[in-house]
Amino acid sequence: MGNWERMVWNQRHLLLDGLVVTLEICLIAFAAAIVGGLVLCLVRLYVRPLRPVAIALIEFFRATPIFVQLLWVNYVWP
Amino acid sequence: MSGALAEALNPAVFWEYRAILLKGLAFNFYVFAAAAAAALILGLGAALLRVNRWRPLRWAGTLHVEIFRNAPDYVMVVWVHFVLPLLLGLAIGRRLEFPPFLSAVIALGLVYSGYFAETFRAGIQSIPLGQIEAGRACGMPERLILWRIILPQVVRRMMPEAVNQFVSLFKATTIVSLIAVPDLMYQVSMVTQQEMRPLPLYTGAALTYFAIIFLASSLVRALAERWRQKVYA
Repeated sequence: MGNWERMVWNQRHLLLDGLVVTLEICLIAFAAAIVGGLVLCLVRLYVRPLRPVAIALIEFFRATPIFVQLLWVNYVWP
Repeated sequence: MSGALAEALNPAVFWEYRAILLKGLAFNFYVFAAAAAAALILGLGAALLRVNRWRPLRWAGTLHVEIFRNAPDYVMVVWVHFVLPLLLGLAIGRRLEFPPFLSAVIALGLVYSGYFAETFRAGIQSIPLGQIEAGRACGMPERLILWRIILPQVVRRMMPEAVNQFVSLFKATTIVSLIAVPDLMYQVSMVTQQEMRPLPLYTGAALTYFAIIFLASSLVRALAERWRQKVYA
């Protein structure tokens, strides 16, 4: 258990900081996902001319892996 | 802006490296196939434990499902690659190291076995108890009831959900590049470092995955639906 104490317990501030970042990302992404999802849903249902755009976006984001999306957004969007 | 867009959609670089990228994509499929097979077998096993008559076995099944469904894929991949060999090595008293491919298959197989177990269990529990009782009344052994009465119906009923799981699993194979399995994403990163042109490469990768997953899932969904309607009233 000495190892555990040295490597985990003594680093707890770093690990907890990491956990906070995870929770922050989770919260913000969750909020964005709900709002974005609702908008896409409403556009798909009620805005006739934009319907194909909404469907294309939905299918594209559903069919690309998160990891690919992560790198893509990070490198390509800017 | 339009220049960047043209650069992002420029397929020339992607095409230039098509040989190595295709090889990478093949690795995605290998990992997917091996992990899917492992996940189906382990998942069926865990589901059968969860509907077992004996309570400790039910607990064991639940434990398996909860552990592997609640661990993020990435954490499992890293853990299986770096920690599991050490633990096993300690247990057998030898230094042990997994090749990245094996770690990827074990980790994804275990994670998705948790999901498949729940899919199987839902299917098994959707079969009316009367059918099982009827089988018993005819003197069928439990094993035959399982293979001839329960599982054929379960497989058909779980098709739509299973397709979703397979899609998730295929998408999850991209993270194995993080432990240096040379899959498509890994090759894309390598080529990007050489060429310093991330735009077309990452865009190409995203579009490739999109095309594969979209086509495959539409196709499988249509086939599965036809099969269900033909066989199952």
